[in-house]
Amino acid sequence: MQVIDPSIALEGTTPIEEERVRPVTRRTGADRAFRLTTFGAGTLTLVLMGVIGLFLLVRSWSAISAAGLSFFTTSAWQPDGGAFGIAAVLLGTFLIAFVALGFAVPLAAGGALFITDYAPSKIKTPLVWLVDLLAAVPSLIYGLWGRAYLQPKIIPISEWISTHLGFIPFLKAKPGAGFAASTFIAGVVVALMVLPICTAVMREVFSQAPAGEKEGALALGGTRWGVVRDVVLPFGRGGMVGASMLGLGRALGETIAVTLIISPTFDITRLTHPLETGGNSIASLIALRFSESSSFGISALMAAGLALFVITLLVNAVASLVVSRSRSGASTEI
Amino acid sequence: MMLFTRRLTAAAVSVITIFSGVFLTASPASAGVTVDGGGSTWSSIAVTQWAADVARQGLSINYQANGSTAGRVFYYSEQVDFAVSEIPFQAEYRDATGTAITNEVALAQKRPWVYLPIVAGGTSFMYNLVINGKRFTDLRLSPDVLAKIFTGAINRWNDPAIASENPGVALPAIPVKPTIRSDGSGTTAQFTAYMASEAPAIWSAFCRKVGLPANCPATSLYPEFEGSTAQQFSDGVAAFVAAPYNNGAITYVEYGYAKQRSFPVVSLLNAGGYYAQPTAQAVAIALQGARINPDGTQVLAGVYRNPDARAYPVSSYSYMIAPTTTAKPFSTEKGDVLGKFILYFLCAGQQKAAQLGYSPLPKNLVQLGFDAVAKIPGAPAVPAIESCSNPTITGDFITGAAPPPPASAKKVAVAGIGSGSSGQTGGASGVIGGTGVSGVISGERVVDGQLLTASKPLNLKSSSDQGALGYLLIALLLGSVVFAPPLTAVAMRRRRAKSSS
Repeated sequence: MQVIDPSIALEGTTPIEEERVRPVTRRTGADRAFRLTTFGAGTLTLVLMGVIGLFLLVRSWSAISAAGLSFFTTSAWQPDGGAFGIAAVLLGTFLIAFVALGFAVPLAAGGALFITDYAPSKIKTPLVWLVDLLAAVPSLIYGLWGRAYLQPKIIPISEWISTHLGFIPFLKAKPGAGFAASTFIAGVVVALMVLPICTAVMREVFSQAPAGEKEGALALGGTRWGVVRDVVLPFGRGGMVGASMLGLGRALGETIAVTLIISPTFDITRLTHPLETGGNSIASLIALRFSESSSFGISALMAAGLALFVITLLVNAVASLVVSRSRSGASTEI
Repeated sequence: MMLFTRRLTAAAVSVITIFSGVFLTASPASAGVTVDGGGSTWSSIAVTQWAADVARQGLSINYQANGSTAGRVFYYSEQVDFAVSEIPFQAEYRDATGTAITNEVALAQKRPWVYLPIVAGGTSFMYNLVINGKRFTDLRLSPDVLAKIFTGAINRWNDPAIASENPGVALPAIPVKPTIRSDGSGTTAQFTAYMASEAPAIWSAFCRKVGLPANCPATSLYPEFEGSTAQQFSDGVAAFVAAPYNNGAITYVEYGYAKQRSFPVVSLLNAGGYYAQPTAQAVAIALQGARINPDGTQVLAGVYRNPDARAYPVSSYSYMIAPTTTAKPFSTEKGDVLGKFILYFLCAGQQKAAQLGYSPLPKNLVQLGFDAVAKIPGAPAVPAIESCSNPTITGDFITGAAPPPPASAKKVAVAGIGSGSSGQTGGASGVIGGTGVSGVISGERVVDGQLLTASKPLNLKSSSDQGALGYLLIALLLGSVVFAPPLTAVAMRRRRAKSSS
C-alpha cells in the first residue's frame, strides 16, 4: 500500500518526484503495534457506547414491555403500584436545557467575540484560560452555590417577571405559589455549566474567520463592529448553531446541580410555568430514585436512562454534523 | 545527577514496600473475613461509626449506604451478608393492573433472615413561622392535623384545625409550604409508616389522590402533591425551610438538623394527651412500646400510641436483616464477626446514639437484638443483658426517671394558654446531649478506645497506636503522591539537560 504525504501532494509539481520521501512499504513491528493500539482504542470507545446502550436496553426491557407505548405519554412516575412514563421528565429536561441555552448562547457568543476580535492580545490567553476554568468547577459546587447563594437572588427577579410580564400565560404565577426550586433557577445554573463548551467552540469558529475578508472589510472603511457583523458572524453561523447544540447535549444530561436545586414535579401544568416551584429532568429522576427503587423501579429508571442516552446521542450527532457542514466548522474538531 | 535519580527510585521503592506492608499487616487481624452489608442511609451515620470502631479491634465490616431498598435487593440477590432497612421485605410491589411485580419476601426465602433493631430515632417536624415579626417556636399539632398538612388537606396556617391546637396564637393567613424529600429516604419511610398507622383515612385518601392503590404501605419516596416542595437530602430540606424567603414552610427531618440551625420543631400530641418534643429521652420512652411479630416484623403501633405522657409518638427504629443460615454468601466465620459487631453496637455502640443524632435502644429492643444474635450461625454466645453497657441499661440514660412533662404541655380544650416557649420546651431541654451531627463524629473518635474497653461482654482490646501508625502512613502516601511527580520531573529535566550539553 502506498502512503502519500498530503503536504507534498498539495504542491502538485511533478519535477520534485525524486525528492519525494520514499513511501514505507514494509511496516516494522513497532508500526504495527502502534497501529493496532490506536485502532483498538478507537474501536473500544465505539464498542463501549454500544455496550452501554445494550445494557440499558436489557435492563429496562421488563419496564418497557410492561408500560408499552404509554411510557412516552404518561407523566406520573409510580413504578411500584401505579403508572409511569417519561412525558413529564422529558419535558422538564428540555425546559431546563432551553432556559440554560437562553442564557448561555448569547453570553458565549459575546464572550467568544470579545476574545477573538476585541480583547487586547495580552489578555486573550488569560481570558481563554478563565472561561475554560469554569468547566473545571465540579457540578456539585455549582449546585450548592446555586441553591444557597443564587436562589435567594433570583427569587425576586422571578417575582418581578411574573408580575410585570404576567400577561404571557406561562410566566403568570398562581397566587401563593413559590418561586424557589424552579426550572428557571436550575436553568440559570446549568447555563453557567454549559458556558465553557459553547464559548470554546464559538471562539474556535470565530478565530477562523478568513483574515483576508476581514482586512478587506476594514480596507473598505468598515468599523470593527461592521467587520464582526458582516464577516465574522455570517462566517461562524454554522459553528454557533453547532456550539449551541453541543451545549444542549450537555445541559440535557446535567445531574447533580439540577438535582440539588429543583423540586421534582410530574405535573405538566406546574412544569410549564418555569418561574414557579417545581421542575424535573431525567438525570435527576434517576439520581433521586435509584437508591430506593425496587428491582422493577430500577428497570423503569433504566428505561428513562435509555431515552436520555438516545436523545443525547442524536443531539450531539446533529451538532457535529452541523458544525462540519458549515464553512467555518469544516476544520473544527468537536 | 544519576545518583540523585537512583536515590529517588530507591525512595519510591521504599515507600511502595512500606505500603504493601501496611496492607499485609492490616488483614490478618480480621482473620481475613470481611462482612459486607448495605442499605439504609438514615442509619448510615451510626453504622459507619460503629464499623470504624470495631475495625480497630480487627473486625472488618464493609457497609455501603445505598438505600434501604437497595439493601434488601442486595440481600436476596446474595450480594451482601446483611442489610439495614427502615421497612421489612415487601410483598406488595404491584403494577397498575394489580399484578405483583416484585415480591421481595418470596425472593428472599432462599436466605432465611431475622430482623433486629439497630438504631432508634425520632422524626421531627421543623418549621419556619414568623408571627408579628418574631419567630414562633411553640407550635403544637395533633397527628391528624400533621397528616393533613403533609397531604395537602390543610394549606393555610390560620386553618381552624391548627388554631384549635394552638389556642391564643395569632396564626397568620399565609400558605403552608410542606417540604418533602425528593430522594429516597428512611426518614420518609418512618414518617409515612406513622401516618399509615395513625391517620389511615387521611393517608389512604392521599394515596388514591396521587395515583397509588388505597392503603398503600409506607414509602421511602414521598409522592408529590399540590403545594409541596421537594428537596434532596435532610440537609436540603432543613436549609430550604430555614431560608428567610420560606416563611410558612414545614418539613420532616432528623432532630439534629433542626437543632443545628436553631429552628423549632413541632410538639406532637401523644396518646397520653401531652405535646412532646422529639428528644432522645422522649424517643427512648416511646420505643418501650415496640413489639415484634413472630415473623420478625416490627409493630410500632405500641410506640405511636404509647400512653406515657413523655413519649414522642413518631419514634421508630431501623432493622438489620441478618441471615440465620449459612446460605451463600454467609458462613460461620462471617457469623462470628457479624455477631460480635451486633453485640458491640447494641451495647457500647449505643452510648454514641444521642450524640450522633439518634436515640439509644431501650432494654426491650436490646433483648430482641440479643435473641436475634442467638439465631445467627457462628455468632458468639450472648451475654447476660445486665452486662450490656447500653446507656439505657447501665442507668446513664435514665429512661424511667425522666421528669414528667409540665402541666402546660397538656392538651386543653379551653383557649387561654399564652404563646411563648417557656414551659413546654423547658420540660424537655437539657436531656439530649446531641449537638450538630457532623461535629460530633470527628470529635467522638478520641474516646472510642474507652468506650470499647467499657464493653465487658465483647472483651475487645483497644489498640489506638495502630491507628496512629495508619494515619502516619496515609500522610506519607499522600506526601509521596503529591511530591513524587514534580521531583521526578525535575530530576528528568536535569538529566536531559546534562545529556544534551
